[in-house]
Amino acid sequence: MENCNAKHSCVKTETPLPTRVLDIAVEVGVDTKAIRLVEPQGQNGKYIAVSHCWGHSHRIKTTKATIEQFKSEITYISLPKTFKHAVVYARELNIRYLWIDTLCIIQDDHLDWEREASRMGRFYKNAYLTIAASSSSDDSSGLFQDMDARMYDVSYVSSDALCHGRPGLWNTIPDTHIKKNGTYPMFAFDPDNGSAFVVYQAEAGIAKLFLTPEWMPSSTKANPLTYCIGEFGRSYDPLDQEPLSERGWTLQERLLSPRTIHFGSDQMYWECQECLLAEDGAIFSPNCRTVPTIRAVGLWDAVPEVQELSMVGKADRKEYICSDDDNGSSLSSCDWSWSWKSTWTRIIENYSTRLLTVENDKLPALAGLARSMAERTGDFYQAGLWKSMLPDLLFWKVVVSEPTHMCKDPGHDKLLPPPWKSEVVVPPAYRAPSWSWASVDASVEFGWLRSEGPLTEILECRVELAGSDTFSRVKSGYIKIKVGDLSRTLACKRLVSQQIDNVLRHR
Amino acid sequence: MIEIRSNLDITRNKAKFPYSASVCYESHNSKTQGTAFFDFDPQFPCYALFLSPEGALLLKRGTDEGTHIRIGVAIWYPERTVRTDVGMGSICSVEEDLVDIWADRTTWQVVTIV
Repeated sequence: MENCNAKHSCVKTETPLPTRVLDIAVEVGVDTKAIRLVEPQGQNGKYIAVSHCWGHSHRIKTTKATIEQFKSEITYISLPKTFKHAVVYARELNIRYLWIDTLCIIQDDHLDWEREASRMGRFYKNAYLTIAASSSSDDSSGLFQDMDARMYDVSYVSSDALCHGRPGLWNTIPDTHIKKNGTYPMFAFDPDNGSAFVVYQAEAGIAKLFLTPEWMPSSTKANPLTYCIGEFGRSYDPLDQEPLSERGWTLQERLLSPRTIHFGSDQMYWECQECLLAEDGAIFSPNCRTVPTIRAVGLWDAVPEVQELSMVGKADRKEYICSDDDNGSSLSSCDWSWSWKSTWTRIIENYSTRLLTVENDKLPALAGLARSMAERTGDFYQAGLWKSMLPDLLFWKVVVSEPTHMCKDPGHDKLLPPPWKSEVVVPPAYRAPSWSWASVDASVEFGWLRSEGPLTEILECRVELAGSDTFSRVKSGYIKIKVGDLSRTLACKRLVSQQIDNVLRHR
Repeated sequence: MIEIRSNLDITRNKAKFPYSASVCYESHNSKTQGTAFFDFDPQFPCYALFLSPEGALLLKRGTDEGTHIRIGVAIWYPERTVRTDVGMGSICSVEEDLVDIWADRTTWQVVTIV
């Protein structure tokens, strides 16, 4: 964090405090500090936001019945372990205020919940730091995992090996099929202790040997140096498998937080706008598509408390993008549309894999992110889809994996993983129109539509909101599409002059 | 929109492809195959609303008159187009097929999806 404070532009000056925060440094005696729920009412300051899984254990929470008591004092002993750790951590960093949704939103007050939920994105975006209890599936777990209990449960596989995209120790080596003058480069592999592989540059006549950390001597592990994780054609998120990454609400909490300390299962990670750095020294490349776009969109920049979305027009957006050229992450105007669309589809594909305790939170749990994007892009949001991206965002489907191969050897069928389709659940109560991904609980993915030769025209897209938040729940919606009669004209060019049978036949 | 009345593809290996349905559009002497991905189980008849030459929404009639409900998508593979007039197995080029799938703009209709 000191490095980030000194060298990065991530750190902010004091920002408006949330509606309610925990003041964890109330002086009640010599070296004695109490915790109290306070309402800063527009005051600026530094605060830490907490991203956590609620879990199912008994917990305290702010309700209409407890809020007055909590304004007086919240006893440290009454907090679940994760919150206790957060208090200790914040005090160590000399940060006076904490924001935890459980305690800073009145949980049984519908109006308060709706209002504060709509501001939640801003609360994370304005935080001096976010503490993410990444490895904890319950508030009672604490930030730190018991390393003794899990050590040696499984073989250690380094992130460097995992980023090859083929998890499992036996699969950590990329395929190498290199032959020159009848000789192969030297190749070594020890599945019990680690992996190594060779990259051969034919033109230069050079073979490079790469070792993953499992092969490094123990003295090296004890004194780690900063090193970069290779991508090998794909980016790798070391936090992807953590319990916190399974939850719906926490996606926007991570994406909107300018700086986060993740308390992971194996180690801690620092994530800011410039890097994702592991405790052992590994530096991970930022997601090459999402992060630059989020940075260019300006999600991490401070936004005025009240902003009319209509005031942010397309011209303003272009001007903003053009000015963002100082860190190599800017997007040219021709890249803008693609990047913006690509970023959103990747976000939704990730979000759709996550779980929500309250099924009706599907749109609210992403509302903060949508609001932030709308504030920067001027786009219009309709039940999870952006107006500027229609009809492309209509073309989503439930994830299906039906592996196949091109050869004729039936023996290869046995080597393929079995077919798989995401579970699909329709919520019992109406949640979104059928054309929205939010209408079902399922992992979804987006296809790409070619832009030339549009066959349709979006005439109208409307939703009726269920509440006051434009980016949250809806109670109805429709889309009107003007479409040509393809059944009369679908044909190959060389057949156009011939008679065309309009019937769709099936074998 | 194109009405799809049933799902017939006897060559399809259901063990390998249990979650998708092969669909096929035939004109006088050409054939374009695609794959339908229903959100739940296949429903027929349904309608393919082409958003692009290779991508379509699959719709069924809604309970309110004049409305439709999305039930999946279909992806069309032009490389699988077979020109039956020049012999089985002959493959039209992808580009040639794609640019020539077009809509008759004199017969536009408005579809409402809820």
